[in-house]
Amino acid sequence: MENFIKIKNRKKRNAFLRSGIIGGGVAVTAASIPVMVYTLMDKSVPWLWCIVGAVLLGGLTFGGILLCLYPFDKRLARSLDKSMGGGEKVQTMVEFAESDEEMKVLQRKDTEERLNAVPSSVYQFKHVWQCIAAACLAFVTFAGAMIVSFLPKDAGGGGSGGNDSSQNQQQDEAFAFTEFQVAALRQLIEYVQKSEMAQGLKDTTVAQIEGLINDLPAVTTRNEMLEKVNGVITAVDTAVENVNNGFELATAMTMTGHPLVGKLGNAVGAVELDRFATFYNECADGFKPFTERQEGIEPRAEAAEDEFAEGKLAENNITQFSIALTSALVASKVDPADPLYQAIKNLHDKLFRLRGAISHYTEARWANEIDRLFNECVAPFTVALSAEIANDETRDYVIRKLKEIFGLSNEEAPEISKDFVAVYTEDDNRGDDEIHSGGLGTGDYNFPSDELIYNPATGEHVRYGELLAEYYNRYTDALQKGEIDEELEMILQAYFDLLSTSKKVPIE
Amino acid sequence: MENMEKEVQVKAFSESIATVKAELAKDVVGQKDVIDNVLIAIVAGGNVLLEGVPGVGKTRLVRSLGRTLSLPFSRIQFTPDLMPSDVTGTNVAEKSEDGKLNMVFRKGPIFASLVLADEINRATPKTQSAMLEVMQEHKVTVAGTAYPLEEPFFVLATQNPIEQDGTYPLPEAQMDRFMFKLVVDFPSIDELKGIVNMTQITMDETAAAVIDGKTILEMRELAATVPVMDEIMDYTMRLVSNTHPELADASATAKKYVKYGASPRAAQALITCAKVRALMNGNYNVSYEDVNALAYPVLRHRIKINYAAINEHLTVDDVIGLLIKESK
Repeated sequence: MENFIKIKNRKKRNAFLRSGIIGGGVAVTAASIPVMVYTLMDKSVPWLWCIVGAVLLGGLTFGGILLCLYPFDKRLARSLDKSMGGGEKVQTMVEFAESDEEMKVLQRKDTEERLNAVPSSVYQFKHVWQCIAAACLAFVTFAGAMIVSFLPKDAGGGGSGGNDSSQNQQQDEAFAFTEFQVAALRQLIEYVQKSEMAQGLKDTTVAQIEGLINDLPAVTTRNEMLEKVNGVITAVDTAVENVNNGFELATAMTMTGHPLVGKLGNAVGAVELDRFATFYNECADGFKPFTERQEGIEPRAEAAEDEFAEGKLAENNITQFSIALTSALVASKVDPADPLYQAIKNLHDKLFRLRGAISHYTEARWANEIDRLFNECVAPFTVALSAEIANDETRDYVIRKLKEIFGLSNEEAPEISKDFVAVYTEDDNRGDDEIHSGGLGTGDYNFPSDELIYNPATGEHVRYGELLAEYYNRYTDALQKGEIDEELEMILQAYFDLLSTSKKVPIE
Repeated sequence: MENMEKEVQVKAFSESIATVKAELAKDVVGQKDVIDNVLIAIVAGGNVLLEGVPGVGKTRLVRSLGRTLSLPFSRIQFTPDLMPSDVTGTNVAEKSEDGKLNMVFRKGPIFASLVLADEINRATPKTQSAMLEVMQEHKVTVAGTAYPLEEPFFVLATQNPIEQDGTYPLPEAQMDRFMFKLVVDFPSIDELKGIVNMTQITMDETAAAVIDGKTILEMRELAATVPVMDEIMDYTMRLVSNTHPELADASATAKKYVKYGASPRAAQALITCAKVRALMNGNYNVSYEDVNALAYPVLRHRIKINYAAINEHLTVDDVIGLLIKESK
């Protein structure tokens, strides 16, 4: 068995060598190709996956080839017999390797002698080309990966005016901070400084924009630029939101479910003073005798008169209003020093003081007193809301301009805080369908808020209120995306204002 | 030391066979394969059925072989009127010196080491069956008394495949007793020339005795020790099994062309003879080639082809070739 073992060891070594070279080549190639691809795509290379994948693939190749080439005794014996012209001598020798029978010992001896005469070409390292091919492939791909990794990265396309047909393409673009952009940012700073934004916010916003001017010259890719600009947009928006508490207060008030507190909430949440006035007046009307509000509706007017005569309506109204409003103020978690918070508190306190005097007033006098009280209290609201609106407008302007200057699409820009949308209680719609103004249709017929109408977009019948809310949302979305020009914006805004001031637009 | 001894024995084996072949060549021209196979059968201890047209040297071969092996030789010419006792011998009444009559067994021609049963298919089945016990068990039983034959003992039978009138084809059981069926082909032109030239000088056989019965028995013992690896053993068993069309996993060839297959004796014969053949060729182990080469003489008379094979003009040897291919 000496010669056989010698041949086996040589074959084993050859098998390990060949599978090692080919397996190694496959591993290097498997690692280099993804490195090359990721680098060319300008993406960060997932090294861990590349290495694990390459090791796995290389290991599998190594194992597979070794399994095919490994000189197992029977396999080697068969191949040696073949090379010796048959006779099954080696196979028989291997099978009876342990036997001491004379004839078998002789057979082994004879086979060993014949194996000695086997030409060395039988067990020499064969198919060298496979190893060379694997090594070459590994070298080429490895070199390719190295070259690609160390190539300068500014070989990409220049201009930023490309279509946004492919986001990936944009991500690949290089970025260069232009003089024009610097000038535009400086103009923006001037605008902010001249704006009516709160001083603290002005400082924050200006500091953010100046930070951009300082940082962007060092930025070379669009991705980095997006990161910086979006950071500024988010920072400005957060700063404004931290100062403006209208949204939180309005939301808390509308959440109480109390109709008058809800109206006041809608007033506070209104992003325009005109709309504020509407909701505010509606709130005031809620404390007046019913006959003052809805003339000609006898059954309810009579009931209201009875209640008023007993002095219960106003008192109950004010008490419930006070409870709901107080809980809303607490729930909003807004700083009591906030101007809007103060304005609400002021209205609440005065109204609460007036409650005790109701029995001394006639209906007309009471209505006048309510009007007077609300008129007195409107100024703090107007001042606080004007400041918030100024903050919002300046923020919106800054964000819009930043998008323009750096060519950001709406998808690329971060989502900013949304405006408050008025919330209507069921009480607002109840029994008022007869006098519903505006609405959809020819003008000859006004749709009640819960009547089903055909929605051409979906082909289904939906509630009028739902459809109008959907239309309003679409309008605001389009407005935010800048898809509506100024002229059309005015017309649409007037349309929705008309609907909302007539108090019958049920927006959810 | 033992190995050295064995090695010497193996060398002696090959040399003896070579010497026998050389001596036979003095009397028999050509027929190399037939001579080889006859020698294999003799060493393996089997009987051989030689089939060939008259005049191709069957009888001469056997006679020369008897002389070369220096074995007691007898020839029985089988005829329809040959009686079993003519073959085995019989009890005869013999007067002793004191005048009494004693029944004495007089041995028949079968009591030799090498028996030539010439034209065995001309004898009646009764006589043919008398050969059965002798061929298989190497003994003769007459009147309740068994008479063993001396070892080695071989029967070399001949039969003429052409003249079938008035013959009694050997039954399958009897055929199975023959280890080989060898077909003695008509000689080639060169061989024919050699035969004619040889017989111009003398018609006598000139081959000399080179080995004896004892040597043959030693050779048989030695051959039995030749190793056969499992794969070849399995292959051989598969080959014999594949001749059976009735088996569940029968080979396609057997299903298509074979009427009935070979007995287990075929497998025994194949392995035994393959060992001898290996040694004859100077090998210490049995190879596929040994088995394949011997498959023809071993299976030829043991399998019966069906009409489908005959229809397709296939001979038994063709079918055996197909079975070998399928068993690989």
